Amino acid sequence: MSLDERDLRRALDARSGEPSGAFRARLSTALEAGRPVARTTPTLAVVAAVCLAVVTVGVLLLAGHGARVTHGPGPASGPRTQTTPTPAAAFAFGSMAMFGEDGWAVTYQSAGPIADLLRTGDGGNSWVVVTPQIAKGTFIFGFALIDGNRAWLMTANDSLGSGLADLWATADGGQTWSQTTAPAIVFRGALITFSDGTNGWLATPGEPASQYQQQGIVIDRTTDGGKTWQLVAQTDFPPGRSTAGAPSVNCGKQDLSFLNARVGWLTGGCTGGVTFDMTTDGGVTWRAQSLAAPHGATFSTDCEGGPCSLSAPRFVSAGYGYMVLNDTEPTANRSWIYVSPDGGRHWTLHAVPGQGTRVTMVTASVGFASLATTDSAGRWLYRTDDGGTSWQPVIANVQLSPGPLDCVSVSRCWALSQSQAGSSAQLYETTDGGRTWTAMTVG
Amino acid sequence: MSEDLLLADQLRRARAGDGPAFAELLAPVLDPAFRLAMTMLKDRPAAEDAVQEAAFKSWRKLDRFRSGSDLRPWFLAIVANECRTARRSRWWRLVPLIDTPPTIPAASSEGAWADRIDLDSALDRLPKQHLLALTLYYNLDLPIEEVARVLGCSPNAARQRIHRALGAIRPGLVMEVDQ
Repeated sequence: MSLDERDLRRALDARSGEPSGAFRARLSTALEAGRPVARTTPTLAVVAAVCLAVVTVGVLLLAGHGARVTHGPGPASGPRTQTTPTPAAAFAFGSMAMFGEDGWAVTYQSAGPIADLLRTGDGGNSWVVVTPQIAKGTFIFGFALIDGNRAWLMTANDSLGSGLADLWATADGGQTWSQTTAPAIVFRGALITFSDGTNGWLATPGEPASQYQQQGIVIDRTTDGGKTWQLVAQTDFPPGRSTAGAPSVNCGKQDLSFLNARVGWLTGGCTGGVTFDMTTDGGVTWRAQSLAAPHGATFSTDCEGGPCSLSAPRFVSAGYGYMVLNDTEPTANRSWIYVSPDGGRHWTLHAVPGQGTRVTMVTASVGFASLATTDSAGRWLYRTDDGGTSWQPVIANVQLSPGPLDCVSVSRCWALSQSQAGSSAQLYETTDGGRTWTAMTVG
Repeated sequence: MSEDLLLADQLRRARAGDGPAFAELLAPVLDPAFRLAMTMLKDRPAAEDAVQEAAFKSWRKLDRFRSGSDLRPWFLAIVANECRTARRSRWWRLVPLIDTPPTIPAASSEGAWADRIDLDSALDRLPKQHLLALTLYYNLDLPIEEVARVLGCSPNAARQRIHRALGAIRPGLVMEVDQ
């Protein structure tokens, strides 16, 4: 075995790489702005991962809560590397997260569960199925996308409440996967989130009371990247009893996020209120953090006529975080954003255009809001330049029915526009801050 | 306007806070800076972060940069420092809790692949100052004087560091380093 200069150069070259066009553009924009912008990674990566994981699980829970999900396709046939065609009509190209040119997307089975995980390395022009080989009779019910190469999947069998959850990890963009079983985690739906590569939380909600007015939860934590898990908090989740300082039992559990290894939030929503619990010790003890309700009223009033939902905070920097409140109370029925300038200590409420609006903040100043349905003027995209205080419409060249929206800079975003049937989605890209959207030919 | 005058003008404007001027100043050194960060960190998002942080730090420190000096080694030194900071503080270094087996490209022969893995692992284990020296010299192809400026040492010390790094990869290995 010989080593010469050529081998060394080759080995160093293999570790190296050229800056992507997206990065050049982002850096150029940041420099031209004359001030540092919030870094999009890893904070935003983790934020996006958390967001997607929670949204995915949330969608599954809401869509098929408590139901026996009919498992669709058979087991994936191992790490596959072929480029996929445009997703078939039976599958919804449902969620996505971009990290520069790299990105992930999931397709859903028509019955609800995740069908496949896909990855792109060229800004969304081509996608490769990277679903690991999972056992027959199991399905994917959650995922956390850490960055362009690292991702987690959760799988369980289709007997909800009886099977153990398996965790799958990849560190190479889905080319290879490692599997582990999270001990003692019985699947009843779960929220998974990582604040970094080693600290993660898996929250397992219990059976909800009527109308999601109450729901217990078990929170397990890993500090070694998922090798081992330890129960850190439990709210009246039979057969166990609540631990000291456990989260509130009120409302259905909706979202979980952590700013770092210690500080995190668990949110819940129901008819008549929301819950917003904060931990500063890694999830062991929780206490309710107060939030101002819209209109200067109370949540019991605001959410009286329909359930409210509250996302957990996402941070685009160590200081600036935001979360979205959606209020389905018939007379209100609109969206709000809470922003914090100080790492989640204090929260200020601002109105966001539309109802059921998705908000993606790119920096502490700039963000986008995509409306679930276009407004009376036919607009579907709004932008803020003041951290969410005010929103101005973006005059776009096309009218989309946007699903997930993800941005890697203030100018470059991707949006999935849902079809009327909701069974498929067209991927669009903008490189000018939302004014011009181009349909991408995924193949 | 001559190139020197153009650079001096860009430098003056960049010091005054002109973003586009600083971007122009930085453009020629962006590629080597990114390659350095990638080689040190083996992670694209982390490399992007390191280079972006280095860009803003260097902008803030631009008053300390001497007019007429070469920007490349000055900026690469700041990037290298960012990489060291990132390696100390970033979570991803601790990630591989579940040992993910390497993917073996089908086209590779087993021996060649083993060699490459072996060499890459050896590079991973190198002290970062040694990896930095090898990267500057063998990957960015900087002359030894410039390697020395990035490392903040004399050319002789830079040569010795490269030799030590080579020896650490494979004891007994000797390769020529320009005198």
